[in-house]
Amino acid sequence: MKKQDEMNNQDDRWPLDSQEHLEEALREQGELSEESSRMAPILLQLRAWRAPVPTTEETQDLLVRLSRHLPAVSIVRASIARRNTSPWARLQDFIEIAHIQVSILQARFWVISSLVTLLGMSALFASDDEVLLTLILRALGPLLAYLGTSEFFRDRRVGMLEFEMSCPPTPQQLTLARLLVILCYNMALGLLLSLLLWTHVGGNILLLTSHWLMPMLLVTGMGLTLSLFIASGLATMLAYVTWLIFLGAITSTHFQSQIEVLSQYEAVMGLAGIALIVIAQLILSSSLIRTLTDSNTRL
Amino acid sequence: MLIAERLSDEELMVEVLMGKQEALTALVERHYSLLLGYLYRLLNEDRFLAEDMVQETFLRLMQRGGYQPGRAFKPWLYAIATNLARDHFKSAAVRHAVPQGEEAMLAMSDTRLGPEEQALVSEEGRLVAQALAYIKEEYRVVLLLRFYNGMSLQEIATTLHIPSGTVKSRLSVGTQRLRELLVCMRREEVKR
Repeated sequence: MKKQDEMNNQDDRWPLDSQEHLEEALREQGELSEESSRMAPILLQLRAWRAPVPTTEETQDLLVRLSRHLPAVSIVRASIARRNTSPWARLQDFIEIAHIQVSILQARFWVISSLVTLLGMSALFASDDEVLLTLILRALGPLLAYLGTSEFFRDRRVGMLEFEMSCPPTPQQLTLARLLVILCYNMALGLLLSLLLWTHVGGNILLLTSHWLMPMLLVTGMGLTLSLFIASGLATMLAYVTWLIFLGAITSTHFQSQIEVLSQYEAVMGLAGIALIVIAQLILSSSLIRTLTDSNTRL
Repeated sequence: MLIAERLSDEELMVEVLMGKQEALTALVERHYSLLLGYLYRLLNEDRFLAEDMVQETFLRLMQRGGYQPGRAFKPWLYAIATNLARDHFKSAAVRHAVPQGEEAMLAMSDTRLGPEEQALVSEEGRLVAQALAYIKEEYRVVLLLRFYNGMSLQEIATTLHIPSGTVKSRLSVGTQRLRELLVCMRREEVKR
Protein backbone atom coordinates (compact mmCIF):
# COMPACT_ATOMS: atom_id res chain seq x y z
CA MET A 1 0.00 0.00 0.00
CA LYS A 2 2.89 2.28 0.87
CA LYS A 3 4.47 1.63 -2.51
CA GLN A 4 1.13 2.29 -4.20
CA ASP A 5 1.03 5.71 -2.49
CA GLU A 6 4.58 6.41 -3.55
CA MET A 7 3.87 5.59 -7.18
CA ASN A 8 0.73 7.68 -7.24
CA ASN A 9 2.27 10.66 -5.47
CA GLN A 10 4.05 11.95 -8.55
CA ASP A 11 5.39 15.31 -9.63
CA ASP A 12 3.43 16.59 -12.61
CA ARG A 13 5.47 19.64 -13.52
CA TRP A 14 5.95 21.84 -16.51
CA PRO A 15 5.90 21.17 -19.44
CA LEU A 16 3.82 18.03 -19.01
CA ASP A 17 1.10 19.57 -16.87
CA SER A 18 -0.99 20.64 -19.87
CA GLN A 19 -1.09 20.37 -23.65
CA GLU A 20 -0.61 24.15 -23.97
CA HIS A 21 2.60 24.08 -21.98
CA LEU A 22 3.88 21.15 -23.96
CA GLU A 23 3.13 22.95 -27.25
CA GLU A 24 4.91 26.02 -25.89
CA ALA A 25 7.95 23.92 -24.99
CA LEU A 26 7.97 22.35 -28.46
CA ARG A 27 7.79 25.75 -30.15
CA GLU A 28 10.63 27.03 -27.95
CA GLN A 29 12.83 24.17 -29.06
CA GLY A 30 12.25 25.11 -32.71
CA GLU A 31 9.20 23.09 -33.82
CA LEU A 32 6.67 24.83 -36.08
CA SER A 33 3.31 25.78 -34.60
CA GLU A 34 1.32 23.19 -36.57
CA GLU A 35 3.84 20.48 -35.85
CA SER A 36 3.76 21.32 -32.13
CA SER A 37 -0.03 21.06 -32.05
CA ARG A 38 0.16 17.69 -33.84
CA MET A 39 2.88 16.29 -31.59
CA ALA A 40 1.67 17.56 -28.23
CA PRO A 41 -1.26 15.11 -27.70
CA ILE A 42 1.00 12.17 -28.48
CA LEU A 43 3.88 13.40 -26.30
CA LEU A 44 1.45 14.08 -23.47
CA GLN A 45 1.51 10.32 -22.98
CA LEU A 46 4.92 10.84 -21.34
CA ARG A 47 2.97 11.73 -18.22
CA ALA A 48 1.95 8.11 -17.87
CA TRP A 49 5.50 7.02 -17.06
CA ARG A 50 5.66 7.74 -13.36
CA ALA A 51 8.74 7.79 -11.19
CA PRO A 52 8.75 6.98 -7.48
CA VAL A 53 8.68 9.87 -5.04
CA PRO A 54 10.74 9.44 -1.88
CA THR A 55 8.83 9.24 1.38
CA THR A 56 9.64 11.43 4.38
CA GLU A 57 11.48 8.50 5.99
CA GLU A 58 13.58 7.94 2.89
CA THR A 59 14.46 11.65 2.78
CA GLN A 60 15.48 11.50 6.45
CA ASP A 61 17.60 8.39 5.81
CA LEU A 62 19.40 10.12 2.97
CA LEU A 63 19.98 13.21 5.12
CA VAL A 64 21.45 11.11 7.93
CA ARG A 65 23.86 9.44 5.48
CA LEU A 66 24.84 12.77 3.87
CA SER A 67 25.22 14.59 7.18
CA ARG A 68 28.15 12.35 8.10
CA HIS A 69 30.02 13.88 5.18
CA LEU A 70 29.23 17.55 5.87
CA PRO A 71 32.51 19.45 5.65
CA ALA A 72 33.97 20.99 8.80
CA VAL A 73 35.03 24.50 7.79
CA SER A 74 36.97 27.16 9.68
CA ILE A 75 35.48 30.64 10.20
CA VAL A 76 38.08 32.18 7.84
CA ARG A 77 37.29 29.73 5.02
CA ALA A 78 33.57 30.23 5.60
CA SER A 79 34.05 33.98 5.24
CA ILE A 80 35.97 33.52 1.96
CA ALA A 81 33.31 31.19 0.57
CA ARG A 82 30.50 33.59 1.53
CA ARG A 83 32.26 36.40 -0.28
CA ASN A 84 32.15 34.47 -3.55
CA THR A 85 28.38 34.09 -3.59
CA SER A 86 27.43 37.20 -5.60
CA PRO A 87 28.88 40.42 -7.05
CA TRP A 88 26.85 42.40 -4.49
CA ALA A 89 28.39 40.40 -1.62
CA ARG A 90 31.84 41.02 -3.09
CA LEU A 91 31.15 44.77 -3.35
CA GLN A 92 29.87 44.93 0.23
CA ASP A 93 32.95 43.08 1.35
CA PHE A 94 35.24 45.45 -0.55
CA ILE A 95 33.58 48.49 1.05
CA GLU A 96 34.05 46.84 4.44
CA ILE A 97 37.77 46.26 3.70
CA ALA A 98 38.16 49.92 2.65
CA HIS A 99 36.42 51.01 5.84
CA ILE A 100 38.82 48.94 7.95
CA GLN A 101 41.83 50.39 6.10
CA VAL A 102 40.93 53.89 7.33
CA SER A 103 41.99 52.83 10.84
CA ILE A 104 45.57 52.36 9.60
CA LEU A 105 45.98 56.10 9.02
CA GLN A 106 47.59 57.74 12.01
CA ALA A 107 46.41 60.95 13.71
CA ARG A 108 49.24 63.00 12.16
CA PHE A 109 47.81 62.36 8.71
CA TRP A 110 44.41 63.77 9.62
CA VAL A 111 46.00 66.76 11.37
CA ILE A 112 48.40 67.61 8.51
CA SER A 113 45.80 67.17 5.77
CA SER A 114 43.34 69.36 7.70
CA LEU A 115 46.02 72.01 8.14
CA VAL A 116 46.79 71.95 4.41
CA THR A 117 43.11 72.38 3.64
CA LEU A 118 42.78 75.25 6.13
CA LEU A 119 45.89 76.87 4.65
CA GLY A 120 44.33 76.56 1.20
CA MET A 121 41.08 78.11 2.42
CA SER A 122 42.79 81.09 4.01
CA ALA A 123 44.90 81.64 0.89
CA LEU A 124 41.81 81.52 -1.30
CA PHE A 125 40.09 84.17 0.78
CA ALA A 126 43.19 86.37 0.97
CA SER A 127 43.31 87.13 -2.74
CA ASP A 128 40.97 87.88 -5.64
CA ASP A 129 43.48 87.09 -8.37
CA GLU A 130 41.98 84.14 -10.21
CA VAL A 131 45.29 83.07 -11.75
CA LEU A 132 47.03 83.07 -8.38
CA LEU A 133 44.15 81.16 -6.80
CA THR A 134 44.30 78.57 -9.56
CA LEU A 135 47.99 78.22 -8.90
CA ILE A 136 47.31 77.57 -5.19
CA LEU A 137 44.82 74.84 -6.11
CA ARG A 138 47.38 73.26 -8.45
CA ALA A 139 49.96 73.17 -5.69
CA LEU A 140 47.67 71.97 -2.89
CA GLY A 141 45.87 69.14 -4.76
CA PRO A 142 49.09 67.17 -5.37
CA LEU A 143 50.27 67.98 -1.83
CA LEU A 144 47.28 66.05 -0.49
CA ALA A 145 48.15 63.20 -2.86
CA TYR A 146 51.72 63.22 -1.56
CA LEU A 147 50.58 63.09 2.08
CA GLY A 148 48.09 60.27 1.52
CA THR A 149 50.24 58.09 -0.70
CA SER A 150 53.33 58.32 1.50
CA GLU A 151 51.26 57.52 4.60
CA PHE A 152 49.29 54.61 3.14
CA PHE A 153 51.69 52.76 0.82
CA ARG A 154 54.91 51.01 1.67
CA ASP A 155 57.98 50.43 -0.44
CA ARG A 156 57.43 47.36 -2.63
CA ARG A 157 60.60 45.76 -1.24
CA VAL A 158 59.08 45.73 2.25
CA GLY A 159 56.50 43.22 0.96
CA MET A 160 53.40 42.10 2.80
CA LEU A 161 53.21 41.73 6.54
CA GLU A 162 52.50 38.23 7.80
CA PHE A 163 49.04 39.11 9.07
CA GLU A 164 48.17 40.74 5.74
CA MET A 165 49.03 37.54 3.90
CA SER A 166 47.03 35.35 6.28
CA CYS A 167 43.82 37.41 6.48
CA PRO A 168 40.84 36.66 4.19
CA PRO A 169 41.12 39.77 1.91
CA THR A 170 43.77 39.30 -0.75
CA PRO A 171 46.80 41.66 -0.83
CA GLN A 172 45.47 43.05 -4.12
CA GLN A 173 42.15 43.92 -2.47
CA LEU A 174 44.00 45.63 0.37
CA THR A 175 46.12 47.84 -1.90
CA LEU A 176 43.14 48.69 -4.09
CA ALA A 177 41.02 49.53 -1.04
CA ARG A 178 43.76 51.82 0.32
CA LEU A 179 44.08 53.58 -3.02
CA LEU A 180 40.32 54.08 -3.13
CA VAL A 181 40.24 55.48 0.42
CA ILE A 182 43.03 57.95 -0.20
CA LEU A 183 41.69 59.13 -3.57
CA CYS A 184 38.17 59.60 -2.17
CA TYR A 185 39.45 61.54 0.86
CA ASN A 186 41.69 63.78 -1.23
CA MET A 187 38.92 64.39 -3.73
CA ALA A 188 36.54 65.40 -0.95
CA LEU A 189 39.04 67.94 0.37
CA GLY A 190 39.87 69.25 -3.12
CA LEU A 191 36.20 69.53 -3.95
CA LEU A 192 35.68 71.56 -0.79
CA LEU A 193 38.46 73.96 -1.80
CA SER A 194 37.20 74.38 -5.36
CA LEU A 195 33.64 74.96 -4.11
CA LEU A 196 34.94 77.70 -1.82
CA LEU A 197 36.88 79.25 -4.66
CA TRP A 198 33.83 79.03 -6.90
CA THR A 199 31.66 80.85 -4.34
CA HIS A 200 34.45 83.40 -3.88
CA VAL A 201 35.38 84.27 -7.47
CA GLY A 202 32.80 82.38 -9.56
CA GLY A 203 33.72 80.74 -12.89
CA ASN A 204 33.36 77.19 -14.18
CA ILE A 205 33.26 74.68 -11.29
CA LEU A 206 34.36 71.78 -13.51
CA LEU A 207 37.37 73.76 -14.71
CA LEU A 208 38.25 74.68 -11.13
CA THR A 209 38.02 71.03 -10.11
CA SER A 210 40.25 69.91 -12.95
CA HIS A 211 42.93 72.40 -11.78
CA TRP A 212 43.65 70.28 -8.69
CA LEU A 213 42.24 66.88 -9.63
CA MET A 214 44.38 66.26 -12.70
CA PRO A 215 47.71 67.18 -11.05
CA MET A 216 46.64 65.11 -8.03
CA LEU A 217 46.10 62.02 -10.21
CA LEU A 218 49.43 62.65 -11.97
CA VAL A 219 51.39 62.96 -8.72
CA THR A 220 49.64 59.89 -7.22
CA GLY A 221 50.44 57.86 -10.35
CA MET A 222 54.05 59.06 -10.43
CA GLY A 223 54.49 58.40 -6.71
CA LEU A 224 53.08 54.86 -6.90
CA THR A 225 55.13 54.01 -9.99
CA LEU A 226 58.33 55.33 -8.44
CA SER A 227 57.58 53.40 -5.21
CA LEU A 228 58.03 50.21 -7.24
CA PHE A 229 61.74 51.06 -7.43
CA ILE A 230 62.53 53.23 -4.39
CA ALA A 231 61.16 53.75 -0.88
CA SER A 232 57.57 55.02 -1.02
CA GLY A 233 58.24 58.14 1.12
CA LEU A 234 61.07 59.18 -1.18
CA ALA A 235 59.05 58.24 -4.29
CA THR A 236 56.04 60.37 -3.41
CA MET A 237 58.24 63.27 -2.33
CA LEU A 238 60.16 63.05 -5.60
CA ALA A 239 56.87 63.06 -7.54
CA TYR A 240 55.54 66.08 -5.66
CA VAL A 241 58.81 68.05 -5.84
CA THR A 242 59.00 67.33 -9.60
CA TRP A 243 55.48 68.71 -9.96
CA LEU A 244 56.35 71.84 -7.91
CA ILE A 245 59.50 72.46 -9.99
CA PHE A 246 57.45 72.07 -13.16
CA LEU A 247 54.78 74.46 -11.86
CA GLY A 248 57.44 76.92 -10.70
CA ALA A 249 59.20 76.84 -14.05
CA ILE A 250 55.96 77.55 -15.87
CA THR A 251 54.86 80.38 -13.60
CA SER A 252 58.27 82.08 -13.60
CA THR A 253 58.14 82.63 -17.35
CA HIS A 254 55.17 84.32 -19.03
CA PHE A 255 52.96 83.70 -16.02
CA GLN A 256 49.53 84.37 -17.55
CA SER A 257 49.97 82.63 -20.91
CA GLN A 258 51.80 79.60 -19.53
CA ILE A 259 49.09 78.99 -16.93
CA GLU A 260 46.49 79.01 -19.72
CA VAL A 261 48.61 76.57 -21.76
CA LEU A 262 48.78 74.32 -18.70
CA SER A 263 44.98 74.31 -18.44
CA GLN A 264 44.74 72.94 -21.98
CA TYR A 265 46.87 69.93 -21.06
CA GLU A 266 45.17 69.10 -17.76
CA ALA A 267 43.12 66.27 -19.28
CA VAL A 268 46.30 64.70 -20.66
CA MET A 269 47.92 64.99 -17.23
CA GLY A 270 44.92 63.29 -15.58
CA LEU A 271 44.89 60.44 -18.11
CA ALA A 272 48.64 59.95 -17.72
CA GLY A 273 48.13 59.84 -13.94
CA ILE A 274 45.37 57.21 -14.22
CA ALA A 275 47.53 55.15 -16.61
CA LEU A 276 50.44 55.25 -14.14
CA ILE A 277 48.14 54.26 -11.23
CA VAL A 278 46.81 51.28 -13.23
CA ILE A 279 50.31 50.20 -14.30
CA ALA A 280 51.62 50.49 -10.73
CA GLN A 281 48.67 48.47 -9.38
CA LEU A 282 49.17 45.72 -11.99
CA ILE A 283 52.89 45.44 -11.32
CA LEU A 284 52.27 45.50 -7.58
CA SER A 285 49.60 42.77 -7.86
CA SER A 286 51.81 40.44 -9.93
CA SER A 287 54.66 41.08 -7.52
CA LEU A 288 52.42 40.19 -4.55
CA ILE A 289 51.31 36.97 -6.24
CA ARG A 290 54.99 36.05 -6.67
CA THR A 291 55.65 36.87 -3.02
CA LEU A 292 52.80 34.61 -1.92
CA THR A 293 53.92 31.80 -4.26
CA ASP A 294 57.45 32.04 -2.89
CA SER A 295 56.11 31.90 0.67
CA ASN A 296 54.07 28.77 -0.18
CA THR A 297 57.09 27.13 -1.80
CA ARG A 298 59.18 27.82 1.27
CA LEU A 299 56.47 26.30 3.46
CA MET B 1 14.53 26.58 8.37
CA LEU B 2 12.46 29.57 7.32
CA ILE B 3 15.66 31.42 6.41
CA ALA B 4 16.95 28.44 4.41
CA GLU B 5 13.74 28.40 2.40
CA ARG B 6 14.32 31.97 1.27
CA LEU B 7 17.85 31.29 0.00
CA SER B 8 18.63 30.31 -3.58
CA ASP B 9 20.11 26.90 -4.41
CA GLU B 10 23.50 28.52 -4.94
CA GLU B 11 23.43 30.29 -1.57
CA LEU B 12 22.31 27.10 0.15
CA MET B 13 25.14 25.16 -1.46
CA VAL B 14 27.70 27.66 -0.15
CA GLU B 15 26.21 27.17 3.32
CA VAL B 16 26.44 23.38 2.87
CA LEU B 17 30.12 23.72 2.03
CA MET B 18 30.47 25.57 5.32
CA GLY B 19 28.97 22.61 7.13
CA LYS B 20 25.42 23.91 7.70
CA GLN B 21 22.97 21.06 8.34
CA GLU B 22 19.82 23.20 7.72
CA ALA B 23 21.07 24.18 4.29
CA LEU B 24 21.70 20.54 3.39
CA THR B 25 18.18 19.62 4.53
CA ALA B 26 16.62 22.40 2.44
CA LEU B 27 18.66 21.48 -0.64
CA VAL B 28 17.88 17.75 -0.38
CA GLU B 29 14.18 18.43 0.14
CA ARG B 30 14.14 20.66 -2.95
CA HIS B 31 15.94 18.30 -5.31
CA TYR B 32 15.75 14.73 -4.03
CA SER B 33 12.45 13.83 -5.67
CA LEU B 34 13.19 15.27 -9.12
CA LEU B 35 16.74 13.93 -9.16
CA LEU B 36 15.54 10.47 -8.16
CA GLY B 37 12.92 10.60 -10.92
CA TYR B 38 15.52 11.60 -13.47
CA LEU B 39 17.96 8.84 -12.54
CA TYR B 40 15.17 6.27 -12.18
CA ARG B 41 14.08 6.93 -15.77
CA LEU B 42 17.62 7.21 -17.10
CA LEU B 43 18.64 3.94 -15.43
CA ASN B 44 15.68 2.04 -16.83
CA GLU B 45 13.59 1.99 -13.68
CA ASP B 46 16.29 0.55 -11.42
CA ARG B 47 15.17 2.23 -8.22
CA PHE B 48 17.95 0.91 -5.99
CA LEU B 49 20.66 2.01 -8.38
CA ALA B 50 18.93 5.40 -8.78
CA GLU B 51 18.86 5.83 -4.97
CA ASP B 52 22.57 4.99 -4.76
CA MET B 53 23.39 7.47 -7.48
CA VAL B 54 21.34 10.25 -5.85
CA GLN B 55 23.39 9.77 -2.69
CA GLU B 56 26.64 9.64 -4.66
CA THR B 57 25.66 12.81 -6.55
CA PHE B 58 25.13 14.76 -3.33
CA LEU B 59 28.31 13.35 -1.81
CA ARG B 60 30.35 14.47 -4.83
CA LEU B 61 28.83 17.93 -4.56
CA MET B 62 29.94 18.16 -0.95
CA GLN B 63 33.51 17.10 -1.65
CA ARG B 64 36.26 19.70 -1.87
CA GLY B 65 36.00 21.23 -5.36
CA GLY B 66 32.73 19.37 -5.98
CA TYR B 67 30.89 22.65 -6.45
CA GLN B 68 32.27 26.00 -7.56
CA PRO B 69 30.52 28.88 -5.72
CA GLY B 70 28.89 31.33 -8.08
CA ARG B 71 27.99 28.70 -10.70
CA ALA B 72 24.37 27.69 -11.38
CA PHE B 73 23.52 24.86 -8.98
CA LYS B 74 20.89 22.84 -10.86
CA PRO B 75 22.93 22.21 -14.04
CA TRP B 76 25.91 21.33 -11.82
CA LEU B 77 23.82 18.78 -9.87
CA TYR B 78 22.41 17.14 -12.99
CA ALA B 79 25.80 17.14 -14.72
CA ILE B 80 27.22 15.03 -11.88
CA ALA B 81 24.19 12.71 -11.92
CA THR B 82 24.35 12.30 -15.73
CA ASN B 83 28.08 11.57 -15.64
CA LEU B 84 27.57 8.97 -12.92
CA ALA B 85 24.88 7.26 -15.00
CA ARG B 86 27.10 7.37 -18.08
CA ASP B 87 29.99 5.87 -16.12
CA HIS B 88 27.64 3.13 -15.00
CA PHE B 89 26.60 2.37 -18.57
CA LYS B 90 30.24 2.26 -19.60
CA SER B 91 31.40 0.15 -16.67
CA ALA B 92 32.81 -3.27 -17.41
CA ALA B 93 30.21 -4.99 -15.24
CA VAL B 94 27.33 -3.54 -17.22
CA ARG B 95 29.04 -4.25 -20.55
CA HIS B 96 29.50 -7.88 -19.65
CA ALA B 97 26.18 -8.46 -17.99
CA VAL B 98 23.98 -6.76 -20.56
CA PRO B 99 24.09 -7.06 -24.35
CA GLN B 100 24.75 -3.80 -26.21
CA GLY B 101 22.20 -1.86 -28.25
CA GLU B 102 18.84 -0.23 -27.84
CA GLU B 103 16.97 -3.55 -27.83
CA ALA B 104 19.11 -4.67 -24.93
CA MET B 105 18.18 -1.53 -23.02
CA LEU B 106 14.53 -2.29 -23.71
CA ALA B 107 14.97 -5.82 -22.38
CA MET B 108 16.71 -4.42 -19.31
CA SER B 109 13.83 -2.05 -18.63
CA ASP B 110 11.45 -5.02 -18.65
CA THR B 111 13.46 -7.16 -16.28
CA ARG B 112 14.56 -4.61 -13.69
CA LEU B 113 11.12 -4.14 -12.21
CA GLY B 114 9.91 -6.42 -9.47
CA PRO B 115 6.51 -8.11 -9.99
CA GLU B 116 4.84 -5.73 -7.54
CA GLU B 117 6.18 -2.65 -9.29
CA GLN B 118 5.34 -4.07 -12.72
CA ALA B 119 1.76 -4.46 -11.61
CA LEU B 120 1.65 -0.83 -10.51
CA VAL B 121 2.90 0.60 -13.77
CA SER B 122 0.11 1.45 -16.17
CA GLU B 123 0.09 0.00 -19.66
CA GLU B 124 0.52 3.46 -21.15
CA GLY B 125 3.46 4.16 -18.85
CA ARG B 126 5.11 0.90 -19.90
CA LEU B 127 4.71 1.93 -23.54
CA VAL B 128 6.41 5.27 -22.89
CA ALA B 129 9.25 3.62 -20.93
CA GLN B 130 9.83 1.17 -23.79
CA ALA B 131 9.73 3.91 -26.42
CA LEU B 132 12.28 6.01 -24.50
CA ALA B 133 14.50 2.96 -23.97
CA TYR B 134 14.71 2.59 -27.76
CA ILE B 135 16.10 6.10 -28.10
CA LYS B 136 19.85 6.67 -27.98
CA GLU B 137 21.22 7.90 -24.67
CA GLU B 138 22.28 11.34 -25.94
CA TYR B 139 18.71 12.07 -27.10
CA ARG B 140 17.08 10.36 -24.11
CA VAL B 141 18.98 12.54 -21.62
CA VAL B 142 17.80 15.80 -23.20
CA LEU B 143 14.22 14.52 -23.45
CA LEU B 144 14.19 13.55 -19.78
CA LEU B 145 15.71 16.84 -18.63
CA ARG B 146 13.32 18.83 -20.79
CA PHE B 147 10.00 17.07 -20.37
CA TYR B 148 10.25 15.47 -16.92
CA ASN B 149 12.51 17.93 -15.13
CA GLY B 150 11.27 21.10 -16.85
CA MET B 151 14.74 22.43 -17.59
CA SER B 152 15.25 25.36 -19.93
CA LEU B 153 17.32 24.95 -23.10
CA GLN B 154 20.16 26.92 -21.53
CA GLU B 155 20.13 24.83 -18.36
CA ILE B 156 20.35 21.63 -20.41
CA ALA B 157 23.20 23.12 -22.44
CA THR B 158 25.09 23.98 -19.24
CA THR B 159 24.38 20.56 -17.73
CA LEU B 160 25.67 18.64 -20.73
CA HIS B 161 28.40 21.14 -21.71
CA ILE B 162 27.04 21.46 -25.23
CA PRO B 163 25.88 24.52 -27.23
CA SER B 164 22.17 25.38 -26.97
CA GLY B 165 21.90 24.84 -30.74
CA THR B 166 22.92 21.22 -30.20
CA VAL B 167 20.33 20.91 -27.41
CA LYS B 168 17.64 22.14 -29.82
CA SER B 169 18.66 19.73 -32.56
CA ARG B 170 18.88 16.78 -30.14
CA LEU B 171 15.45 17.66 -28.75
CA SER B 172 14.03 17.94 -32.24
CA VAL B 173 15.43 14.59 -33.40
CA GLY B 174 14.59 12.92 -30.08
CA THR B 175 11.04 14.23 -30.04
CA GLN B 176 10.38 13.12 -33.63
CA ARG B 177 11.79 9.66 -32.93
CA LEU B 178 9.78 9.37 -29.70
CA ARG B 179 6.57 10.37 -31.47
CA GLU B 180 7.14 7.81 -34.24
CA LEU B 181 7.88 5.09 -31.69
CA LEU B 182 4.83 5.90 -29.60
CA VAL B 183 2.52 5.88 -32.67
CA CYS B 184 4.07 2.66 -33.92
CA MET B 185 3.84 0.90 -30.56
CA ARG B 186 0.27 2.03 -30.05
CA ARG B 187 -0.62 0.48 -33.44
CA GLU B 188 1.07 -2.78 -32.43
CA GLU B 189 -0.88 -2.79 -29.16
CA VAL B 190 -4.18 -2.31 -30.99
CA LYS B 191 -3.36 -5.17 -33.42
CA ARG B 192 -2.70 -7.51 -30.49
